[in-house]
Amino acid sequence: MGGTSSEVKLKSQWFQILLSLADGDRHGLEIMESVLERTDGETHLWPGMLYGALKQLSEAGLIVEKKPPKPGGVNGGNPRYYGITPLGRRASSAYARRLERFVEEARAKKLLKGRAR
Amino acid sequence: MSGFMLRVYRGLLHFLPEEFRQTYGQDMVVAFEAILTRRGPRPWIFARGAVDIVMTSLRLRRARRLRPRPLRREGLHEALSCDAKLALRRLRRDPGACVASVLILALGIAATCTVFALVDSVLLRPLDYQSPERLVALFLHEISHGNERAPTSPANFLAWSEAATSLELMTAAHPWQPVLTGQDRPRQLAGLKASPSLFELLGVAPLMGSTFTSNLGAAGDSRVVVLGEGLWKREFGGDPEILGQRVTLGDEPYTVIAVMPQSFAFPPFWATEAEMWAPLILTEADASQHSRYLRVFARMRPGVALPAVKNETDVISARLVERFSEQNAGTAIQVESLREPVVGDVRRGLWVLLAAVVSVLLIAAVNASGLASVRALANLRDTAISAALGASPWRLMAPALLEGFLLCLAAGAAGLGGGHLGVTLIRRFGPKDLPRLSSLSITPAAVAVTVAICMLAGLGIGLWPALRARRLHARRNIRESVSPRHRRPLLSAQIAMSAMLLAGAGLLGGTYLTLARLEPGFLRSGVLTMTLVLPSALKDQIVGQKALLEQIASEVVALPGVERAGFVNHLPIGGDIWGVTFARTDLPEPSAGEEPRASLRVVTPTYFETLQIPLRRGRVFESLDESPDTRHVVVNEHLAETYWPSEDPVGRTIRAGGDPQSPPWTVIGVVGDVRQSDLTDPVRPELYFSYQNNPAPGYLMTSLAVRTSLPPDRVVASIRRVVSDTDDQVAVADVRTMDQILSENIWQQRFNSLVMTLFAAAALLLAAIGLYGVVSYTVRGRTREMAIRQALGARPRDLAIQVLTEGLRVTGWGVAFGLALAYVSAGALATLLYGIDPTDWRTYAGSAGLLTLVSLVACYLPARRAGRLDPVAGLRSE
Repeated sequence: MGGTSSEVKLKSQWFQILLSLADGDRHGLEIMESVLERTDGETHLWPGMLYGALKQLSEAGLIVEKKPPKPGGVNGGNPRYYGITPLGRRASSAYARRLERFVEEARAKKLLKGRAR
Repeated sequence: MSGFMLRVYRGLLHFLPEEFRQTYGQDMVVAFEAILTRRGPRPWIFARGAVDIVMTSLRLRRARRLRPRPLRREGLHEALSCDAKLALRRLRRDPGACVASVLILALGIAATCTVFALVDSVLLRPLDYQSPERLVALFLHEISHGNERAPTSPANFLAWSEAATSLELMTAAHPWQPVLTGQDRPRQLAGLKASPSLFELLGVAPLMGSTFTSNLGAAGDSRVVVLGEGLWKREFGGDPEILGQRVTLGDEPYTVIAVMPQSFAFPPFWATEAEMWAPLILTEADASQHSRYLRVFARMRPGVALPAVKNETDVISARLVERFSEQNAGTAIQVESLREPVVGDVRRGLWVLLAAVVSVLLIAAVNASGLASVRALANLRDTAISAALGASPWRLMAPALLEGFLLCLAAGAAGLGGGHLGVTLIRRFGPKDLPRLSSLSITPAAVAVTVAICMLAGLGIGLWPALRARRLHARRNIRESVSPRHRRPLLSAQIAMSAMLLAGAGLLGGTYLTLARLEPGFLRSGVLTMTLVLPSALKDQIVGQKALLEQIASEVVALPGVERAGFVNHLPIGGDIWGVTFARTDLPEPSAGEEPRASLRVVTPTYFETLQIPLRRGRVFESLDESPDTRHVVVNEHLAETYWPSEDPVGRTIRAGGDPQSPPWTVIGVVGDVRQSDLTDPVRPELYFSYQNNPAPGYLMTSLAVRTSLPPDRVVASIRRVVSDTDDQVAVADVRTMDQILSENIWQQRFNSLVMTLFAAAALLLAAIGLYGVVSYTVRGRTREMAIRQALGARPRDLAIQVLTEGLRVTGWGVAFGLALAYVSAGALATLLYGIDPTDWRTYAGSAGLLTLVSLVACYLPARRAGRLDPVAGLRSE
């Protein structure tokens, strides 16, 4: 499935996953934990939700499965590693810009204190 | 605890689609284990994990349903069921055409199934005896009289059975029609006397008791009888104690020793009504008996083939011609497989019917395929879209092929039902003389053939639309030409087959009509006939027999409505034929085997008037009271013309019976020729003797012919009463009108012509429907073109004429080709025809005329539509 970054509509969970992959390849459990940490425990990706999303993201061409960096990984298994694709990067930055617009608007409406960096 | 939870979690993963579970299952377990480690093995954590699995499963399945699937990954089963659904949906879109196709095909399949079942039951299935392929029938071939299947004499039979080493269990038989007495009224039964080896020869087990065997030799225990199940139930009420009981047959006591099952019938080709069997014991004394009345059967020894048997019998026959030079001159032994005399006569007719029904089936299939291709044009858009979306050629072809198979499946089921009905109807109403009629059924072979036909027809019907769809795949051209031009050769072929069938039906129908109108040499209507069996006390009593017959005749004539009554030993057409040799006394004695032969009839004087056989010259017998020394004989015209070509035979004398010492007979009159055993047989010489000097007084059966002005069935009861009042020992049997006898005689021609006419009518109708369909489709497809022509000045009449001409051109080709084929294949019909030439031009012209007329009617409606086209609407149409 192709398409430009502006066409790809992201769900917030998908954005969280892409965000976790933005600074390097990770396996599922790492993604789950990083999302949990970043959202202060608010967004808990349960395994079905997580891997369902990973599958759909792969099919949409936003992420790609990567070779594990070293064999003999987590808990005796060989987990699958995922990396973000350029399309995934464009889609997540488009999503982030949209969020940014919302934040700026909230600030302009004095819903937030201080200026944007 | 957490270990237990993990195990259950692992089990719950099976809710997920297989592919997903294979890929991510292990990682999911690891992730869930991490959650459990972090938060502790709490029940709500576990419940949340379970809900997550179920939700994920639902989400994935929904996504899969919505997503266009790549076709290549489907299993065959899935693809087939999907295509079958599509085919069904397409068929439902046009239920009228669909029902029409099924009906047309079902008719064709039912007819084919019926005729094939008939062919299989009658011709192909082995006879119902043990190792039937080794059973043979032996006849005496009377070479000089052209009779290949004459009976033989006891002397010959004994010599044959002694000499033949390639045959075993040789069995002789003759019909036996004793009168059953000791019941309320004497009844004539039909049976067979056969050598004691009969049941060993046939290898059929009795229903109860034990049959006689070849060990039966002493005269003392030869008075035994084996009953058929039908006879046992009818005459003896199915008495379970019947074995060992004594019954009186022809004044002699017989002990019942066995009952044969209903399915057992023997002999299978002559005297077929036999339903009881008694041993025929031939002794040394019979070795010099030369009267020919025995039919002989035998079994080839294992490993011996028919040609070897023929070689051996040729040698035996040559030896016997030397040994009995006087009696056997001009004869040979004719050996045939037992099947041959049973089905030989009907074989050609049945094959012709099978060929005809296959033509009807082909026409039906072509029609159904025409309907299917019209439907395929309607589905063209769907197909084009599928092609554009990248469906494989097979997926484009599959729905059309499956449509064909589904139609044929429905038609096949209906056709098998129809075939069953057809077979039941033939068994109930079909000609009684059709061999093996009682065993007619839908055989496994018939079912297999029907299924094969369905598969082929399905393929044939679906193939064209399927190929068309495939072509679409290649060209991806939706706006392809939709002209049914390519159907014209098929249509012409349909018409050609109809023309052939019509010509065949015409020829067979002509044969039947010729025979039905054929004058048998007497006035057939208003004549009632019956067989009388005289009491055995009158055997060889010429005077006693004469007195009884005279008395019965005079009392019958006195009955109201009866005009004339006379007796004859064997009725023409319906009865047996006895032959007698004769010679003119004024010519030198002919050499052995060269004597002329004539049919022998013994009559009372009123017989000729009763049947209204015309007197040509001289006189007929005047009364039975002439002096016993008057040895008078009446001859038929054919005999008179053959043996006294330019003289008057009246007053001439002949010697009859081959004994040169016997006193001569004087010819007193010449009567018109009468057809003797078959309406189609040529007329043969015939000699009429009087009961006054009955030359065969040992024969106790005679036939009464009565001419009545009332409907014949109204006098039957009073005649029976008169007969039993005159002598209650006389049995009456076989009451039929002469019209019935004649009509039964030509059952085969009637059956053939009836069935062939039905097939031809069906073919004609189907061809007309096909023609109508194609012509009207052409008119619809050319609406725009015709409108333009009209706008350019063409008159409506011109357009109509053009459409008619095109339809008739197709018909013309079909008729020409069909009649040419009929002409070439007419030879196959030759033996089934009588009184009409296989290349009779009137029949051919009639068929052509009828087909042209029907085609005109079929083209007329579309042509009229073409003439009434509104040019403006036509120009707007696409």
